[in-house]
Amino acid sequence: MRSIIRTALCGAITASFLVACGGGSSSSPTSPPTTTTPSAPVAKPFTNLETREEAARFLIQAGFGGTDSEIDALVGTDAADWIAAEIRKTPTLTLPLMQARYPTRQDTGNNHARMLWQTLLTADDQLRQRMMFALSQIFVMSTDGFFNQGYATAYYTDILSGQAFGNYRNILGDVTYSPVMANYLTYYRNEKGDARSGRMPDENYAREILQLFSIGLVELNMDGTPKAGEPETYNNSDITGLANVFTGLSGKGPSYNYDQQDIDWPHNPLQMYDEQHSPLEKNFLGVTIPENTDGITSIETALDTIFNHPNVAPFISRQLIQRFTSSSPDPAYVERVARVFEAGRYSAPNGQEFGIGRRGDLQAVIAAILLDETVHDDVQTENEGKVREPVLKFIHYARAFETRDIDVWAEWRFGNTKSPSDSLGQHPFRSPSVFNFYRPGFISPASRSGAAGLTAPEFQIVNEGASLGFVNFTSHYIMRRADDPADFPGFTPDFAHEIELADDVEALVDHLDVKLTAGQLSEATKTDIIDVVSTLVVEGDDADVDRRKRAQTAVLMTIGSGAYMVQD
Amino acid sequence: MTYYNRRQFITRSTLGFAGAAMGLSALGRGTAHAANVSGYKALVGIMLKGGMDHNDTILPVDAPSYDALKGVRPGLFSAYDSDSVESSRNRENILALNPTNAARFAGRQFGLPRELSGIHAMFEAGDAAIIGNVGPLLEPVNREDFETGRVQLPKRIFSHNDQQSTWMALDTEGVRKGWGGQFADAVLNADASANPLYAAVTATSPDIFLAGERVRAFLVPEIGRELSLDSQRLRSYLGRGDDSDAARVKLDTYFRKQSFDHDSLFRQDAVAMAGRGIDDQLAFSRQVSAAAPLATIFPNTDIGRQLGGIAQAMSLRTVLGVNRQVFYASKGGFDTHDAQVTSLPNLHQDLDEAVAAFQAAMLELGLWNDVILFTMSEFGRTMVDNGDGCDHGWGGHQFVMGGSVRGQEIYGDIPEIDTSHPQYTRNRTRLIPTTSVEQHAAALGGWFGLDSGELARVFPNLSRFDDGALNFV
Repeated sequence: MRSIIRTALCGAITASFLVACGGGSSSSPTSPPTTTTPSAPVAKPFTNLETREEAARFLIQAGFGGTDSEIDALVGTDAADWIAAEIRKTPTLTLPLMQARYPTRQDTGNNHARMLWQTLLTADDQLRQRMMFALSQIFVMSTDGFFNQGYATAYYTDILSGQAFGNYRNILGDVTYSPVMANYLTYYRNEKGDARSGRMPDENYAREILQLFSIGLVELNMDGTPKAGEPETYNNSDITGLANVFTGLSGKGPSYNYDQQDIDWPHNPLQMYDEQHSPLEKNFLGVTIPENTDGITSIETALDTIFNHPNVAPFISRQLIQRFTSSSPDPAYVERVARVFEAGRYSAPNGQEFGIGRRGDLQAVIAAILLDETVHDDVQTENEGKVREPVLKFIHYARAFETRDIDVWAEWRFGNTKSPSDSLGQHPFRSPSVFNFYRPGFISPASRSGAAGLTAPEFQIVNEGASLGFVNFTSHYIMRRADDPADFPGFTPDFAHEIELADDVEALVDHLDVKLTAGQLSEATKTDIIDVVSTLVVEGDDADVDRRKRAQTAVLMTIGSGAYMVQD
Repeated sequence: MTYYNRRQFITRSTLGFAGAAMGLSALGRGTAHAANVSGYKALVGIMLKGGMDHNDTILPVDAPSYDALKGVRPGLFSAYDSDSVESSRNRENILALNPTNAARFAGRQFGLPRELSGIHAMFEAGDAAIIGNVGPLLEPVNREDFETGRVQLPKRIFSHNDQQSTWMALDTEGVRKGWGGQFADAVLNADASANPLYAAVTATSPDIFLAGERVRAFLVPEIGRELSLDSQRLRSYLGRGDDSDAARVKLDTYFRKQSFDHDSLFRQDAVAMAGRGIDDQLAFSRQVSAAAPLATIFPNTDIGRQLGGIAQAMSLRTVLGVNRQVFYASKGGFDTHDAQVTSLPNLHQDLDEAVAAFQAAMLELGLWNDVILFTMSEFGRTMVDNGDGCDHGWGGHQFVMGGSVRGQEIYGDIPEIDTSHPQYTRNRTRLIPTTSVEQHAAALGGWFGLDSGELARVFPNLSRFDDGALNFV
């Protein structure tokens, strides 16, 4: 229905408004803001969330899913306004939380990744936290193997959450100067070369900043597809040249040496020690930094060069789209977002403005991703959708049922949620390597989506081997935390609304269908859920318990459904 | 699960499985061909992720080569404190290898660090071989070719994910089929009665290696782990009444169902994987519970548990109805850009202990002659160090192990320690491979049972290389 309204609206207004509607004009630059608001709108823009289904769907795409009241509150409002309100919220930062809980960094153990779980499950600024989690899967830093680095890793997290709606270039810089990344990708105290022994600088960061954090390996079109012939973006001499740039960085303090640095160096930017910085001429990506250039100038020149590479917009845009709305984004969608990345500004269909016009503005980029026409149309093709990450699926459950008494420190399960066979198969900030939990180009072998050539990064961890673990993990929280008194304290879900509906199983299933899957449960799924739940008899003195078990069973089955596993 | 000390378990396995162990020692080098009476064969690939430093794995033992390596790696040798009597990199402490083809290396001698003592013993017993300087190639390449670009080179050499993919599937990330999966496909095509479910088995994240046309990797649980659907096991979830029991049965059916009439391809795949996964995993777990446990104790390390899970699956081969299987395990952490001296010896030791336990388990099962265990790693590393580590390279050295291997021999080549040697790139002394991954893998495939036509289909560039060069099996 809404797609028809949009067509009528776009057809009725000026040609320039067609651009904002995105009607096949993907090669045009984003319209200037003055042309985006029709003077006499005949209908609300397509980003208006008209129904509970649409509201629920948008909260799954943009946030962590919604509670009943959050869904209700969104109906009749514009998605752009929700985004703007989220951007205005006070950021939840991790370092202050870590410092409050652990008085010295020697007390932090490996609790940073646990703290992240607490934040993701409970923080109010959900779009910022979604963005932080998305960015943490591009600028990958894994805390596995780290011990007592809780302040340094928290500082790193706060770069991503603090700049979630800032500029990509700032993140690139702050990440480069962060002690924990220098530790992770081994350029902390990276020594300049020594001609006599033949020793050369460590190439690790030079390689990964290009391959993973910025431009990738092959030249891209603006729509994210490789250029004809797949020309490579850099060669090995670019890497050796750039490796010379990332030399001379060490912790803040009076001396380059580890034992003489300031006590707070792990959660402050690295410092350049020019005497340790390579004085050689540095050549990479067609740029020459003259010999004897100081370290900071060298790094800033390198970061600007990387940032200005035309690959950055499609490379980063496609991956951010994959984290929010689509596992295998249509190239035209990637191009629309990449052009917003270039322009640094996005005008929403309802006139709301995002971004300050500087290239790399992530506020504009996220708005463009979440307000894209294909995200809001009613047309569902068999190729659309995003396979949901296990972490997001669990957070959605916990938030949708307004779970109380969340204390991940009291939960041994949250010490490590990486195991696919008995946990979620994913733990924020604990990917197995700098290549993240999965690769953006992953295609699931011997599968239907694979046969259609669709990428599905998440299927690299969401597959046969992880299925039992996910059901067991979630069934523990759904089935064993809601009784009174509970088998286990904490993580108490509020199933009151579901229990109220338990005598009318169809109504209960319809309710959960909207709340958890935006009304997308297949008929076959609904039939099964109704059948199983109806099998549980409500009678006698324990009728309330029976109703609760019905509610729990219906929730568990909905969370095990295809519509919950894949958002669309 | 308990930790064990290698010496204890070797004693234990020798005592416990005297027959098998004697059989092994009776098979001298040269006669170690698999009799293959059981008709069972398995390949077990271990991917060493990060790029294992071949220069710090196969070490030079003769004084000139040792000194040459020390000369180009002053940072690493100093961090190893190689002059101290305890240092594992003191020349005296390196476990010398005595290959039967030593003469080929004109006085150059090689050894393994003491952390690889199990593999060393296997090599000396004729049950392990080294494939020197193997890596991805499309056609033979020398330094001149590399520098001028006058021959075809594999794409994106030096990139981790792409070279892992190229090692296991002959092309960069995004390729759809690995050679392990294609080996399994070939078996299924030849034997209609073979069970496709267990033809390709992984003990870890199913990487591209086991992806085939017909097979999808089956994930085996860690050794000793029993799997269950908790909502079935715990009656407290749904209560104790008849209605609860009925609901439990239906719930079980629901979670095993593989189709719910979705239009979306992703949803079709997601429910198929979920249902299949739960159904198959529980079925497998029931078989494990019903079978006698392995007597061999595996080390309680990630790779130890993985190889233990694989050995456990092999013990069920008859019940599962399989006689050809490709297995996959992986171990990360080899990207030693820094702190190599603290990390690599531990990585080696974990690998070595797991592999030694695996050999013991194979002897216990009487399968040592029917299995080949082989290492892979996306690349070797620069010979010149960067202070306390080294960087991405290209060619590297790998191990093949098993009773059928013509062991105690170095195949391929181990170029001299000389930065001007034309087998190294001038840029950072990265080894240019002399043996292609396809040659190496085709030798494994031939043993596994693929004929030359099938091998040519899986390995399109094979004809550009000498096909008789790698006769390690």
